[in-house]
Amino acid sequence: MNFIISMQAEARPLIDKFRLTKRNRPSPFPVFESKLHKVIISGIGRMQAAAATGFLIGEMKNMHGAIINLGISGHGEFPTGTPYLANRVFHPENKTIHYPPPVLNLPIARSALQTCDSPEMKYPQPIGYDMEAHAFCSTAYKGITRELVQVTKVVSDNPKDPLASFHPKIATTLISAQIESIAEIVEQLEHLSQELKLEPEVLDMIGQVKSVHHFSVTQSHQLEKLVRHAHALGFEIAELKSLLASSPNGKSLLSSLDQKLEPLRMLQ
Amino acid sequence: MIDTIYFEEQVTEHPQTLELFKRFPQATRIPCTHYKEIFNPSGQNFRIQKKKPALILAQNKGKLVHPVPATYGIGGKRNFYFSHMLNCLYDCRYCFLQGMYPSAHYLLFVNYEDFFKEIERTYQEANEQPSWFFSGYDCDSLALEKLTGFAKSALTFFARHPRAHLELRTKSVATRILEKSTPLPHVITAFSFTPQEISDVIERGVPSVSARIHAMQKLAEKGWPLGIRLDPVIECSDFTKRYESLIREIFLKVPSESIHSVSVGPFRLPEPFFKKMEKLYPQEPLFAGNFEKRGKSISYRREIESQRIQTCKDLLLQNISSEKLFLCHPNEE
Repeated sequence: MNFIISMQAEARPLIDKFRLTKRNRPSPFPVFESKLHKVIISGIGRMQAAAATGFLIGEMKNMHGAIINLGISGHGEFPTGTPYLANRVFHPENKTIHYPPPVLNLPIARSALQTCDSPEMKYPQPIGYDMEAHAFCSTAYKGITRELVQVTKVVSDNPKDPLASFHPKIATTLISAQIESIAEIVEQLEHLSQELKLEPEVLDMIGQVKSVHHFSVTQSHQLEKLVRHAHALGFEIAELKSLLASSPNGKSLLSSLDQKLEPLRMLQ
Repeated sequence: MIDTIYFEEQVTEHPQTLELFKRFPQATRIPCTHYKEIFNPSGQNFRIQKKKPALILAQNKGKLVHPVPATYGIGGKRNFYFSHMLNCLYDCRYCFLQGMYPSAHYLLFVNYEDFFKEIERTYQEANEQPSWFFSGYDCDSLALEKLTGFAKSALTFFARHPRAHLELRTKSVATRILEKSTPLPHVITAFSFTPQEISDVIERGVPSVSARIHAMQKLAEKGWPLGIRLDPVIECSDFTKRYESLIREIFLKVPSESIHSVSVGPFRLPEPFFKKMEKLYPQEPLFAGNFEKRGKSISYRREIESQRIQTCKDLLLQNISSEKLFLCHPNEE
């Protein structure tokens, strides 16, 4: 899972939970990562969020990875400590309104969220107020499947406990208290993300074949399609390997595989 | 069933909207200015959305009734379709909606009254000649009837307009509204079929073939004219045996005099739709079939297609007269 988080104080519970280590090599933003997770500390505000999200997308291998914008926010109605998923994200000066798709099955509150350029102290509506989400969505949607881009916030201030009395270190406590809910969001999004990725055995097989024979760009596409079809039609990997071993070159392999698949190309 | 309802601010007070809000009091309601803000953006994933579609309530202000291509129809000369709803309750792997729309959310146009006004205007243009209106193009006509109540409104309208013919096309067994209503000779309920073994693997959520035949029986007993649609015809092993068994089962239980029309159509998809669907479901055996590009469409190879359509035609003509059989010819340009 990938996270864009504005302050390190908000990220601390995740860094601990997922045992992330700080990246040593130079990077435009602080990055904490493990084999499975990555947290980028963007800094506060729309510009920072957009830049960090762009940086993250550049690091991702395909559009089917998931990203969460996590952090604290103000809210006009919810009590402090309430976690919620944003379902309508807008910025007063931007025509585009984002609607993060409702794909998660979790008993967690939903709310509209207004991204502001300075902290909102008056909470005029019963919605959330932050400083990054709109820019995060605007950038993330350019490279990532929309369903896999979600905004999760934990309420840090509201009309009863306004921002004036808030200390940034409280962010760690608030996020920490919701770490299990956040982990559930991560789990469900990871599951959806996995579903969209091509099956590992297909990717492995394509890789194996390409390491044995040379393929032109067109042949490469043909190969990928044939291996995909072979997998979909239940053609045994062992048989494919034996074809690979007996084919003198890429062209011959493509032709033999196509012939082998021919009688299987109908629903059983 | 519905957890999220997006609604255009302009339809907030529409009776249909209020009814749906009442029906789903727990659903999260999210206002929007125009449904396209939610339905149209690129980068949405139809496959993920299909797991839990939201409902979008909107008003369609554009053209509401469209002409049907000349090669389609069930005997009428003036054919039109309209779509009060986009997307379907069921998840059929061959369905072109997956390739056509960026979103799998149910988009319901609540201004039924405008659809009926335009249907009325359209059929009145033709003086005495009857006009056909097909409702199951972008959605199943009956599957979400409990939610939309559209068929109920349509039956009231068409009862007053006998020169306007209606086809309700469905794979559902939600036929209660028809069972409760007086049959109308100019309203055809057409049921789509593939053999049960095929339906099991590529028509997720669709009632069984026997349940659909039972629904047809009930409607036939009430006096409703019925249609049978074998469209698309799907290439499969034991093709003749499976389609023969399907057709036999239908005609064994549904009296042929209740059958208004039968149509048979080959599998065909515009190439960009096919490519999008293949990307959505790379492991789907259906898309690894024996296809070729013909004109702008992807279809089964011509020899397979001709053979399979002929087989269906032969099997059907053992049960109905040729006047009732219609073939859908895709445009191959």
